[in-house]
Amino acid sequence: MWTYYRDVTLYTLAITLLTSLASVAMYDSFSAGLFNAVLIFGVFGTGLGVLAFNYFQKAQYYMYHNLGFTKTDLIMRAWFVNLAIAIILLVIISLF
Amino acid sequence: MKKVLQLRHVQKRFGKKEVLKNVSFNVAQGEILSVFGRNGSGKSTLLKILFGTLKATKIHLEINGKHIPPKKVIPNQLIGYLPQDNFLPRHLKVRDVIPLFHPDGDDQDLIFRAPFVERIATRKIGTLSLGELRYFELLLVAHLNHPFLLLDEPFSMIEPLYKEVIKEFLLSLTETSSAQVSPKKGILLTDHYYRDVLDISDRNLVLVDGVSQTATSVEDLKRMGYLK
Repeated sequence: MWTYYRDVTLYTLAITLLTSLASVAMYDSFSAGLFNAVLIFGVFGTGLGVLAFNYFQKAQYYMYHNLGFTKTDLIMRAWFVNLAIAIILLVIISLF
Repeated sequence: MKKVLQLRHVQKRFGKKEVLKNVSFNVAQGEILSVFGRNGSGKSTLLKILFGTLKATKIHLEINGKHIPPKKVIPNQLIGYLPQDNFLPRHLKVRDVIPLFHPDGDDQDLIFRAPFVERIATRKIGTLSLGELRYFELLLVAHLNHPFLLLDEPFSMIEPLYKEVIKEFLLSLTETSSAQVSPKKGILLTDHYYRDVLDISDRNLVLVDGVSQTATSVEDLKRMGYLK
């Protein structure tokens, strides 16, 4: 569901941005830093975004449950979409 | 065909504390079953178990004699649930939330035409009073196509005018119209506003020491220790 995906991904982007800024000194080029940020976004970011959603908007799960979505459904869909986006971005970054 | 939900021998233990020891009941489409109990008696726990968001220590759930694993309740949209906590996104407007629940235009019209909805349609969820929000959440969930509906304190924080509208609405959900083969809903309801509940319920249960017992009158509620 789009609303869930958008909320979780906003948290994911914020977490990715913070971790990338915190680790910016570890990379000697912009592309290496960007590669790392996209990797965090695609692999760990969604999980952390879900944790943030659970903390701030947990009650909203009942809206999705009433519409037939289980928590696992929602998390897997959000993670799958973000992973797919990350893979595409990683391929593009490696080409340049 | 009218559906009947049967719950048998529900048990729930939190650590050493056994909250539900033996809860059993039937509820059919067209019927309102109320569940009373003192604070901490396990009413909300029971509803969460039925909805499939809390695992029971022991449960046997059937609909029309067919065994239903609790994890199938949500994906198969067998039961709708109005929880105690408000669950709508606060940043969205009322008119934008309705299509999330009801993509079909006719269903949306049903909500927009419901009493009091037009005057709150342009407001954000976060600006609604608790009573307005509770009423709006009930409308959204009750108009979904689940054959059964669980309501955890639907009269809580509701002003008297809304209460009467809600009672009429819940009764309408259990009636069979000429266009339908069976009534829309079987309803399981719990609330401490016992007079409002008794006004609309067909049968009543009281949870006493984790066991469900049948009550038919206010005197029974007193005898079972729910009222003085």
